[in-house]
Amino acid sequence: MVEVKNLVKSYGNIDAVNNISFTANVGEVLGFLGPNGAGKSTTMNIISGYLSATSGTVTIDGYDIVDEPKEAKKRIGYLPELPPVYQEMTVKKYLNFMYELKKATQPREEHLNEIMKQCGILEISDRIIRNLSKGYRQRVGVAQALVGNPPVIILDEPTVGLDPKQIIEMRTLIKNLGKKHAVIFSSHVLSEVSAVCDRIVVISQGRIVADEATNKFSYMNTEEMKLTLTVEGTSATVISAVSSVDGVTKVRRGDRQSDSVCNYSVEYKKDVDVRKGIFRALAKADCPILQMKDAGMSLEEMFLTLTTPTYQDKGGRD
Amino acid sequence: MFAIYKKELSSYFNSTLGYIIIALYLLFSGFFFWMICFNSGANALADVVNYMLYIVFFLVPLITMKSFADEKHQHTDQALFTAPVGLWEIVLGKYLSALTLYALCNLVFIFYALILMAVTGATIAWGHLLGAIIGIILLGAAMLSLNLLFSSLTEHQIIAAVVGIATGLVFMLYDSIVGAVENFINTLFGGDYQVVVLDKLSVTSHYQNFYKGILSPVDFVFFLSFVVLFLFLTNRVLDRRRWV
Repeated sequence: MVEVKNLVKSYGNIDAVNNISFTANVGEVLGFLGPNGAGKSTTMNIISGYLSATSGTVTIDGYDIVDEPKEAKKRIGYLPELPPVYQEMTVKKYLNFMYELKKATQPREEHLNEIMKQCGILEISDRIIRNLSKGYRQRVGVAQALVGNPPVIILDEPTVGLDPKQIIEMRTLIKNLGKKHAVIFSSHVLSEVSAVCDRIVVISQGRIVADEATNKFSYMNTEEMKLTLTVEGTSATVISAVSSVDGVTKVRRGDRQSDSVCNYSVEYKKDVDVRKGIFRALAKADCPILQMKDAGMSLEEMFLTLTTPTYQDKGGRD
Repeated sequence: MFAIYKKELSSYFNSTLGYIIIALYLLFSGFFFWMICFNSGANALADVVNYMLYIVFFLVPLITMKSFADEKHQHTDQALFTAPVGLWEIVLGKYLSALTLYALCNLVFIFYALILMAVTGATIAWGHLLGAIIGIILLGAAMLSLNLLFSSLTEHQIIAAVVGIATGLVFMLYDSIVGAVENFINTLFGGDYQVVVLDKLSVTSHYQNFYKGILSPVDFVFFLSFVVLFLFLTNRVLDRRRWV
């Protein structure tokens, strides 16, 4: 549905967006993840036609955003970083204006009520936007993007400024939208992206450094896997016992929990399951395992690895 | 285009701005009306229009100052420019709504004429008055297009208004400025040179033709091309924004 090809946006000598390509399909929530200033908003502004790219193309449902802007824009609902709401209008008036602006064809009353219900703003529909809290304004912004029921929904950090309950509601809303739309949504909150998205695109300094399905994400790009152990026994015995297991590459002692109980972190080669081996080795050494946990690489660690410049200097992924 | 036109027009009346502009227009025109028609007792409504010319140059920038500057400032332009509407629709919607408000202000002269007829029983020179009204509307239409351009160039409505008023001042004194340039050249080179072309660009002298009752196509074409030129430039400025 959305096809982005070799997108570049330069400001003078600085490339805000550097050769980005990806696709998003209907029935999919695509998470756009990156630190502040990575080029997320710029990319979204280009996809929605607000900015023009220096080079590269964006096509929405086969329509080029530059060559056939009206057809392409008809298919996009966009919530920019700051909700584009008119302060002096009431919520209802504003949505009516957006309905007319987008030349929507759905039965008006029904369609707008449905959207307001979906976004939880039905009870404030007669209030003036100026007097609304940040969270409500954000929701009005989302409602605006849904007017006309476009197949592509682009949301730039939609959960910023919401309280925890609203964040959960917003995530549910996004997830539901993903069933019938192609949703692209950006965030720098990692847990949120992993909870909501089917696919994650990580962008850093204008480049894509990862593009993977969410469930594969935490394991990719790592040669080493990690376990954390909590074991009772002297450290020297434990370390030597675990090190002797086939596939284990590194054992390190972590925090001490009590006199005889310690945490250990174990690194081992990908594709080898060392858990049984560790169990037998420690049983033999008479060191009971109190806890064994697959640490994988957490999304946070993954994110930091991917977005620190040293990783990218090694080539990253284009 | 109609959606934007409607929204703009209603936003004039949902904020105080529209009322302030109308109130100022009524205040000044009412004052001139009283001065000329009652205090001096002259049956010369067209002169009231003539005096309003000085006010129009300062009022017009207030009408358009928010048009694009405030959209940019409030980030609502992102909704406009990502909606399936062309740039021309946006520019024309905004321009026509401003023009509508301005034209509405000028309806007041018709009421003054009716009042004058009712109170003093005077006969109104309708042709003369209507000519002046058409003239002042066209002059305002031209200044509106110029000020719309100023509004598209900045993010702050105050800057747009100040630049607009300063430029308005130049247009108001245009004939004197051209005359001064002429004098300066003539004293410098000691001759009887006349500035050509430049004097044809005076909006006030084109207005004067309407006031005098001359409805010449030249003046219509002048104002129309003025409007088209500055709306085109506004369109270009907005288009350029996407590239920087």
